[in-house]
Amino acid sequence: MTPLTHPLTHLVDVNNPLNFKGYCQQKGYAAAKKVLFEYTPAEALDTVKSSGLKGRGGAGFPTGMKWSFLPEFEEDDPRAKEPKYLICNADEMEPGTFKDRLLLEGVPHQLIESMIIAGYIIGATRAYIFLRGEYHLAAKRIQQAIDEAYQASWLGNDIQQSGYSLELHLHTSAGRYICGEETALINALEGKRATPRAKPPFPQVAGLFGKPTIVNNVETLSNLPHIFAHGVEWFQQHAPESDAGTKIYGACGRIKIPGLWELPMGVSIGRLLNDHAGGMCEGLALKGLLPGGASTDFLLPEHLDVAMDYDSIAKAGSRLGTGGLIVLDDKNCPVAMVKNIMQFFAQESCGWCTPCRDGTPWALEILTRIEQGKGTLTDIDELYRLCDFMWIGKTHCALAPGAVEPLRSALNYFTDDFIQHIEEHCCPYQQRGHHG
Amino acid sequence: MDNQLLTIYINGDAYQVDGNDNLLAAVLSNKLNLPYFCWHPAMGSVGACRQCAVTQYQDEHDKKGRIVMACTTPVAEGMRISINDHASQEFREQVIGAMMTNHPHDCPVCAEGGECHLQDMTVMTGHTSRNYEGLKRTFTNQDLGQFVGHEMNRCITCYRCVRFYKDYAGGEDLGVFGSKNQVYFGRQEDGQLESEFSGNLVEVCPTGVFTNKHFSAHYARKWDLQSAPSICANCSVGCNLSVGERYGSVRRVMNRYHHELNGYFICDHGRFGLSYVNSNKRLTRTKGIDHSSPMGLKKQDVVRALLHYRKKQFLAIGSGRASIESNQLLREIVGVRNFSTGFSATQLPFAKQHADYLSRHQPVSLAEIEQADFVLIIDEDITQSAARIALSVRQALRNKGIARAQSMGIPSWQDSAVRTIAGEQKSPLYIFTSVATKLDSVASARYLQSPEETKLAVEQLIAVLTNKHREHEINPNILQIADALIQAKKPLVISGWSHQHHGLFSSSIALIDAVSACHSNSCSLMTAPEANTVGQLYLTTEITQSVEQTIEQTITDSDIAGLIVLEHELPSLSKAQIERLNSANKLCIAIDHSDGKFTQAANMVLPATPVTESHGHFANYQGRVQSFYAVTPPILPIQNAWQWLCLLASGLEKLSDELTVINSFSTLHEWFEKHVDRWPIKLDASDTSIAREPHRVSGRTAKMANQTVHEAKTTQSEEAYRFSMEGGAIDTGDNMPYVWAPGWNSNQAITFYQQRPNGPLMNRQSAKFLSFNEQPFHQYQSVDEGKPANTEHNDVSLAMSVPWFRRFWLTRSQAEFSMMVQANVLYVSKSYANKQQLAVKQWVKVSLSKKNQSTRQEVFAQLMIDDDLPVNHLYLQADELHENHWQLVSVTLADEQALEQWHKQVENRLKSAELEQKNTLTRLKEKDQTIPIRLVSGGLEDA
Ligand SMILES: Cc1cc2nc3c(=O)[nH]c(=O)nc-3n(C[C@H](O)[C@H](O)[C@H](O)COP(=O)(O)O)c2cc1C
Ligand code: SF4
Ligand code: SF4
Ligand code: SF4
Ligand code: FES
Repeated sequence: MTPLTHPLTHLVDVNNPLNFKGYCQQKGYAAAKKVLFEYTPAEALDTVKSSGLKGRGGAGFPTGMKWSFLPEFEEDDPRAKEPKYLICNADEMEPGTFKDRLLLEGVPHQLIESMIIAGYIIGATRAYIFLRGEYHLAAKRIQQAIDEAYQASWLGNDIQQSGYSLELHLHTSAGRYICGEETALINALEGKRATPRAKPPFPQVAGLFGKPTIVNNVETLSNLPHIFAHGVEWFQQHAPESDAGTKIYGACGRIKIPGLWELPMGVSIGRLLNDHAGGMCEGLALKGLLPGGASTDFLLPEHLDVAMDYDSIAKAGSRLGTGGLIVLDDKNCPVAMVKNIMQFFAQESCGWCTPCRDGTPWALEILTRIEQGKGTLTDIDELYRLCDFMWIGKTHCALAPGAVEPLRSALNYFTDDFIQHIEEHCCPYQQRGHHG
Repeated sequence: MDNQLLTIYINGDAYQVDGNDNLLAAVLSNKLNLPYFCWHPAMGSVGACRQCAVTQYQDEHDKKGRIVMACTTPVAEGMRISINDHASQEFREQVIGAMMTNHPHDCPVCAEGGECHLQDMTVMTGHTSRNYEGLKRTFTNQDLGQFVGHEMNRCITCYRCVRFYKDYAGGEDLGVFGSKNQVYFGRQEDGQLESEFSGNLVEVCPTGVFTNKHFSAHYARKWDLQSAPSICANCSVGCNLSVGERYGSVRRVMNRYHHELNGYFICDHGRFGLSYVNSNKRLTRTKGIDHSSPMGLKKQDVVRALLHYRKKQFLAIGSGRASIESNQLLREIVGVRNFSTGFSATQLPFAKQHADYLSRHQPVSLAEIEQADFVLIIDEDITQSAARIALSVRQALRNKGIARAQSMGIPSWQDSAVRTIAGEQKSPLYIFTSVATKLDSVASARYLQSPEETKLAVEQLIAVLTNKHREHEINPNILQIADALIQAKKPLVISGWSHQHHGLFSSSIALIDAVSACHSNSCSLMTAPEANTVGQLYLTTEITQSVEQTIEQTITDSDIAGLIVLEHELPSLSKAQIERLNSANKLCIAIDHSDGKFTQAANMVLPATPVTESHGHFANYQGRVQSFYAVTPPILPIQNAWQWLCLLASGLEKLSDELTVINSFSTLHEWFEKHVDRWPIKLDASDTSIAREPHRVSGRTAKMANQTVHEAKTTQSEEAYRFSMEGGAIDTGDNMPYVWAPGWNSNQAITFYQQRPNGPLMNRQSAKFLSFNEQPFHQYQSVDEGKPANTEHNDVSLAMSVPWFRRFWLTRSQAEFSMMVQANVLYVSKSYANKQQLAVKQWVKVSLSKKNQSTRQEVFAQLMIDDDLPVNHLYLQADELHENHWQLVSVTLADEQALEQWHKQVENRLKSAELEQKNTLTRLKEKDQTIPIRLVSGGLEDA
């Protein structure tokens, strides 16, 4: 592991993370210093744009482009004096995803350095880390790191006498999946109900307290120091044409070595699963997998050659999402798995729009019946209808379409399993004693 | 933004739409059906329910299109959409299907049934069967107090209620709880809803979650109600109401849309403050007149009773709660000199100055208030005295945020987006006040001080605006207000009578003069105490006497035979005066609908109709003349006050003989036109007749079958409205008895009668205003207040904070209002408390007196410290004080015994109100079965 091959994780130590001094000894804060003293914000923004960095929060939106949507005002416009905000989205609640946790617990100062760089570029005077409520250890470590950074004048007024000031606050979430959606996050941060906002206006224009705001994922931000330390070319060489940098991939399910690996962007599913995660557990075969968290479509064993980058996965009919594989083996019931996922989304629906609020529990009710062997064939039509009902454009935010993805792909790929449940009036996997 | 007409294609056909609208408003403006829930014309779009989905196509070649929400999509030239394609139809049906997974389908027991937006939309989408097989979620309901019922299981989670209650009306005690499909709309705990606008939840909620408790308790379906257009008689705003009746009792009040006044919302005073018409305090019999036949009253009976008084001189007192017609006629009968417009000695100077103000300024409508971008309120707690105005002021404060959103290309109807962009930014609101008000929390600055101090502040402001000041003498706060005022595009100044300070009243008017001199686009308004106060200003002249003077003259002047009092309670009338009136042998004639102090004292009582049984006009705070119609015909001997007055005129042999044969409203008007100078009203000739009852009304011929098999003749009147289902189904102009359109049974049907949502009605008649240009008073001299005599508190001023449910005599005759008790509180400054050696939460006895009178009153109140109060100013919020005219005598620690007794009194009052409410309901329900049969119509001669 070297800074050049594993920029994001080479300093990670989950048992004993580097404190401020230790981090500095490993060239920590050097990149931030470089940016603050050698770049104008505009120059630094150009660097981020040309690096090709894409958001690691799930949607893969180019980071530099997002930042360039911040409005620019004439100097005499009173709005030019209004504050801007930077928010780090550390709400990580996507099932099967735990990559941000590694960075938060393992190398907290790297995130703070990243936020100083991002804050400087976008002109933020105040920044927040919105942390998943259950990440108690991360909360403790991040807070410690923030305190150290304030003491060392890496946060607060006039950072390192650069003239740039940044207040950084840690906010621990009350624990709802929807708080990860950036506008719901902003509402939650304002003390309002965590309901996604109407867009436009996008947060870049009117976000936190109505002011221009940038929201980025932990992993996205963590790339910044390394882009500035090693250069744009270095960053791009890790990945195929359309992508750049490394990615922290994860895998869970009944595989030999569940875990996380920082790899060049675009590693194939097969290599990730077999070389890094050690393949399936004894006696099990791969039935399908969700490539990037619970809100992505199933892929099949035939997709093992597909590269884990945004475009390739999309071509295969799914989404890279968070890059955390959830693996389904041949002895586990796909209906039960989909039902379990639907239960999560029905539970986490914010309740704002009808298709999601009332559609997810309806789908859950049907899946529950099918799983118990009480389903009928028309239930399958009804499930398809519900998938249409909750699809993109029909709901207020992306949660419900996310809930549809595993369901619809399972209906397509595992049709026989559904029909077997209905015709045999029970779960065939349970009957064969395979469960668990 | 300009109103720019665009062409869009709906289902392939071209339609003209307003370029500032969203698609949903555009579709509805063209009178096409498209279901919706969360959108509200006044509250804009948030895209929550997804019910308004349509398919939008890129161009004429696009056959697939994509689903968009009409309410969140701006219209654009050449846009192509479809409502009747399979995809959007199926989706809309699914939305209802999904909502219905948790709806209890309890329509038979639901007070919304038959006028339910959810029922209408369900039918419209074609959702006819249920596929969901799971359990429904259930909720526990809350007791929300006297007015609004709560049945949460019916909720379809459209978020309209909280958006209205919190975002639109600024309420704080109704919220959203929970998430997923368990979202709960209610209070944190059971309790009376605090907002003055809570009743609008009944209409805003598209299902039966929030219902009108009064209506539910004595319920009839909408199609069984006889309805008529009415005007709220409870304050000077003049909100338009639709009142519903069955079996002779008034059942409920609904908002009646008026694009310049109340729009879609009224306050709880208007919605729930009308059940006094069902009260047993109503007068149903005459006093002092012998009826020749047991069957009823004959004109001869009245003539005989007045035999001794023919051609004699009478004094008369009119009132601001009687119609323009009744007051005018009374004035004609007794003569201008003998007619008091009903103002007390304290009020009369206000009245004269107010008329003077009206001769120079046209007060703004509520719609115009909502355009203002600066508001200054001078010591008038409008939330309590003219609540609907406060609601409009709240909307005006959004203009800054709306402008900011518009600069980012976001139209004002994108409600959630606009609120996101606005954040905490508001247009400036400055308040000078002597009591804490509900608008204080949204004000840029609020100055809590005595009216005397406010007067000085207003004078400074005038000096700044007229450049007659020297910088150093002016309080910087005043300079700030002046700056904001001058920078505003449309500044608004609001004041009224409540502070009872003549000096402040005149300086407020002087300020309005100064503002309008230096700002061409400025506007103002003055609230008035009663529904027709401004109508009374029109009749007030230089020589008009106060109520007190009139009573005194009746007693002492031997040329005066008696006193006629029209719908006035005469609060100042003392026992001694009553005795003197009696011993002087004066004939006291009371014309009123409910029992009161004067009806008991009078020797002749003529039972009159309340607003729900009357036909007439009121002039609101702007001088806008609006007509109200009887919902149900009165039962003899109850008659319209003007009908009684015609009889009096003939009995007293006053006025022309012509008058004595007047028996209809239009002949009365003809008489006025001929005989009265500057008679302000021209009746619209209507050649169509309109039914008060819908065609579906049940029991049309059988309503009285338990009494007689003969079908009663319906009451005839020459006005457009019929007391039956005869005539046109609905008026399409300003005066709809109720609203209905095919497929739209709820009040949301109004869209089909508007030029566009929020716009004027299609067949709008032009507004009529009283003209004050020829007002005889010029620059009326204000009388010197003088210092209050013989009080220990010469240097301390006291203001009353009168909660809206405590205002006016009529709320006292409604049990529901008596039951809304609030703790009495005296607010003082810390230094005052220290000086008087009183501590927070201690109970004190506050002694009060009336100026120039020996009347004393004592109330008990809990002491509270308000840090914003100056030392020499206090304010009192006391349940038993209904008017503001009191002066402070002393504040002392309450003695235990008296306090305990007082607490008991309060408790008893509560108990008896509760009992009264129960009894009234029982009585009305019995009456449904034994309704007095009106085999004949209302007129006297008919009998
Ligand atoms: C339902 C939902 C949940 C989300 N949860 C997260 C999350 O936990 N963490 C995250 O970084 N982004 C999450 N997102 C994506 C964010 O909305 C947003 O796109 C992201 O934080 C942007 O950061 P990026 O550009 O750096 O990826 C979620 C989106 C949706 C619709
Ligand atoms: S899809 Fe709708 S209900 Fe679901 S989380 Fe998003 S906004 Fe809330
Ligand atoms: S709310 Fe409407 S649909 Fe629901 S029970 Fe009442 S009448 Fe029926
Ligand atoms: S209570 Fe009524 S208004 Fe409120 S969300 Fe439910 S259905 Fe809508
Ligand atoms: S009315 Fe358009 S989404 Fe609710």
